[in-house]
Order: sequence, then structure tokens, then C-alpha cells
Amino acid sequence: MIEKEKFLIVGGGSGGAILANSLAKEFDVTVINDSPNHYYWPQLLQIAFRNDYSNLYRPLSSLLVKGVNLIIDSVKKIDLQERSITLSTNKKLSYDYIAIAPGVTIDHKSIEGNEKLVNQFGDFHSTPENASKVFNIVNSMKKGTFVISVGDPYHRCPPSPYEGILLADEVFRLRGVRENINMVLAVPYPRAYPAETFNEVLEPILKERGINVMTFFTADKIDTDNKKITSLEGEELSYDAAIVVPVHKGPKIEIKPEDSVNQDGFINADKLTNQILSYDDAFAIGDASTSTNAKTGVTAHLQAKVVAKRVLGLDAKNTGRTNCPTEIGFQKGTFVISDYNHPAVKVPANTINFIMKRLFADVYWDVIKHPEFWDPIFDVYFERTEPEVLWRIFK
Amino acid sequence: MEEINEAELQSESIERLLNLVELLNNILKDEELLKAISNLLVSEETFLVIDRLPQLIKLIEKLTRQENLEKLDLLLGLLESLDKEILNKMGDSLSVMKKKEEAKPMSLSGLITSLSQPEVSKGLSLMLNLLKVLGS
Repeated sequence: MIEKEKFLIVGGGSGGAILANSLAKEFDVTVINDSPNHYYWPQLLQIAFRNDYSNLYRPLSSLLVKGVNLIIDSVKKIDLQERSITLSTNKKLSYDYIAIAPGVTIDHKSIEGNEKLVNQFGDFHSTPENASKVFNIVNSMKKGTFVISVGDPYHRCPPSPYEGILLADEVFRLRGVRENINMVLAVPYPRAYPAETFNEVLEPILKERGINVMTFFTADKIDTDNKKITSLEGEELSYDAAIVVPVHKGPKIEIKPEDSVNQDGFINADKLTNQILSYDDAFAIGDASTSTNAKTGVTAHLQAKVVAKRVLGLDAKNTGRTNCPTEIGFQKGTFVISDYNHPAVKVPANTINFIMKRLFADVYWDVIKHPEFWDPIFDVYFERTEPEVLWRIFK
Repeated sequence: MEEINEAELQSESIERLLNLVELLNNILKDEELLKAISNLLVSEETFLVIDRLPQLIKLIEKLTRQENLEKLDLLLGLLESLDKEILNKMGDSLSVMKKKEEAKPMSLSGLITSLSQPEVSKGLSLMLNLLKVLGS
């Protein structure tokens, strides 16, 4: 019997778990995760604005197929030259292949005053507890200025700031207090959404819903006593309740050699292959990598499929495809779809897209566990919805 | 050995079935999804379509007969070749026909005067060209 090669996967999020399940037959796969649970991070928005915890997490062990080993521990160090990792217990593991997919570290401290602000009003990028604080504020606020601001343009789920403000608007309207609340979306970009093409879809919606947009505003300092946010650009913004999208950093793992991570701790991975530097046995996938496309579960999923194919000898490459289903309230939704060669398509907001978005969320757990079932379906979906095709429809 | 494999296969199948039940349960528990589907399906337009379903089925049957499909294809080609301006002008000329009661008989001299108007002359040229194509 031929001994299988050892494949270590650091992180059991969507990228790590899909990769593990895709390679379970061919490799001796071990997933190392610092929590026994796998979190579905888009659910934080559902907690923040709908108090819905249903899809938040599942035990990771229930999502991995038979034959995949699971270690619940945090990784202290990874040495790409030695081909080894060290766990928090100082146990060392060696590998033939490694995929690093531990996600990001949320750093509230990078923005002065943000820790205090999060304690007051919460956010929807860090923890369920913080998302719950958002739910409390949007359900108790009666008047004043409600702000969603961005402190880091490279945050997880690029549509989340506008999704947040539009879902908050829905809550305020349903509560009958909207006319007493001034809503502001303050972003670092020259427009509401960074991609100019998709902004053409978004801005009329924000205008129609009476949401003010403040551009070139990167939250830098928060004065919670005087309720003011100061931007890097030098502007000031007053609030009665505010949520600031926090700074995201790479994983807290020492990775050798040092040049395999950038100054913010993100792992330097090739955008087409996810390979780390010249190490053809090491890959970084998902939010933790420097890959230039969006930090989303779908991106991690697609990157995992590329890595799986590459280690099986196929010449697969990332197209940079994004597929961010988003809700804008009142049972309408849209998708941010782009790739390396095409800017975000102007997909209109409608009920069908909302239904698609909800279905994507509801099938999420099954997609992780059964790639053999879902891969053919998603292959067709991604082919039929290629940005080049959609651009011909939504000009 | 074979029995063990059989038992394993059965256990995997049952697990898959349970996963699919969980998936279905997720969908059925999703209030927002169900509300959106209901709002999309339960509408005045849907009721009208359901009410006219027998006529619609008959119409679809007629339209999808091979000879009609070919004609429809030609008609669609014709429609694609028309630009919006021409369609607007055709609409305008049809609205003139609705006012036939207001039209007065025209004398020979009136006809000759009208022929010198550029829009009449242009329209006549178009009609002559059309007649030539039809007659060829």
C-alpha cells in the first residue's frame, strides 16, 4: 500500500474545509483550526440587522469528510524551508504540502477610539457579540445621525458597508423612525462603492433611500466623548451612533522566511496560483493571502479549487472571479461579479437576486461538505455567469 | 469484507440523506427567503396569468408549430432590423389614419402642390421603393 503524502491545512474556514474535502481521497489531509467551530461570517450582518443566528456556525468536525484529520489548536509557527509547523502546545508537524488559510485578524486598536466605539455600538466584522450590539442600537435609536464608516479599504466582504447601511435603513423604516434619522455612509473611495461600474447600480439606490455618502473619508480617530470621527484626510464627522469597519490584518502566526508575509501580516501569494513565493509545496488561500481580489468566502472557495487541481498536476489558475451576493433590504438583492479582466458588472437589484442570495447562504454547509455534488453545479453557474457574458446583458 | 463495505456504503448514503434533509430544513426555515418567494409568486399578475392559463397554453401550442416558429423568426429578424426612429414614424403615420374623418378631399392642384413638399416627396419615394420590392 502506497503511503499518501501529508497535506496540512492551517484553518478550517470555507477555503480550508473545501480544500480538505476535495483532497481527502488523494492525500493524508490534516486540518488545524483554532476553534472547534466553522463560522459563516456573512451571518454577522444577519445578526446585526435581523437578530438571526441560524447560520452562524457548525462544528467543523461535522463538515469534514471521512478520512480528514482534525486538530483543534492554534498554530504558532510555520517554517516553509523546514516544511514544518509548530502548534501552541509546541508539538511539531511536518508536511509534504501546506495550505495556509486561517483568515484575518481584526484589529480594533489600529483606529484610536474604535475599541470604545465597538463596546458601545458593536460592528459586523468581528464577533457575534458585537453584531448583537448593532442589532440593539438599530432597534432602539429614535433620532440623530447614524454613521457607517470604513477604517480599512481592504476589509472582508467589500459590499458589507453599503449592505449594512441599507439594512439599517430598512430597520429604521419598518420601525417608523427613519425620518428622524440622518444616515451617512463614509467611505475612503471617491464614490460610494470602489468599483465605478457597480457604483452606477448602487448610488441611485442610496439616493432613493435618502442615505448621504461622504467620500474620501478613511476613519482614523474616534472621539467617543464628543461623538466625532476624524478621517485620515482631515475631515470630521459627528454621530449619535456609529459603526466603523475595523482594520484587518494577517494571521498571528510567525511564518518563515520573513519575506513570505507583508508588513500587515498577509501572506505573499501569487494571484494566479496561490503559491507562496517559490515554494511549490506551499499555498495561501482566502482572506489571509495578499491575493488582490475580494476577501470573501466565494473567492476562498474558488482559490481552494485551483490549489486542489494544481497539487493533482493540473494547470489551474485563478481568474480573479468575485461573486458577492448582497442584500439591500425590502427583499431585494444584487451581486458584485468581476474578474481580473472585467470590472464589476452592473447587476440590477431585484427580488430574484435576493432569492439567489438567500439560497447561496442556505446551501453553504452542504457545499462545504459535498464538493463532489456541488462542483458540477457551480462549474456551470460560474461559466454561465462569467463577467464577459454578464457584461453583454447588463451594459 | 464485502458485508463491511456494504454497511459502510449504506451508512454513507444515510448520512448524505440526512445532510440533504438538513439543507432542505435550512431553506424551509429561511423566513426572508420564503417571504420573498411568496411576494414574487402571489401577485395580481400571477393570478391573471393563472386565470388565462388555458388560453396561454393554446397560444404557446400555436406559436411553437414549426411553420409558425419559422415565421416568428422572420418577424423577429425584421423587428431587430428596425430602429426606434422608424418605429416612431410608423406609429405617427398610423395615428394620422385614425383621423380619417377629418381628412378633406384633395383637388388635382392640391395634389401637385403637396408633391412639391419635401416630406411628401421623401415618403412617396420610400413607398415606391417598397412597392418595387413587393412587385419583384
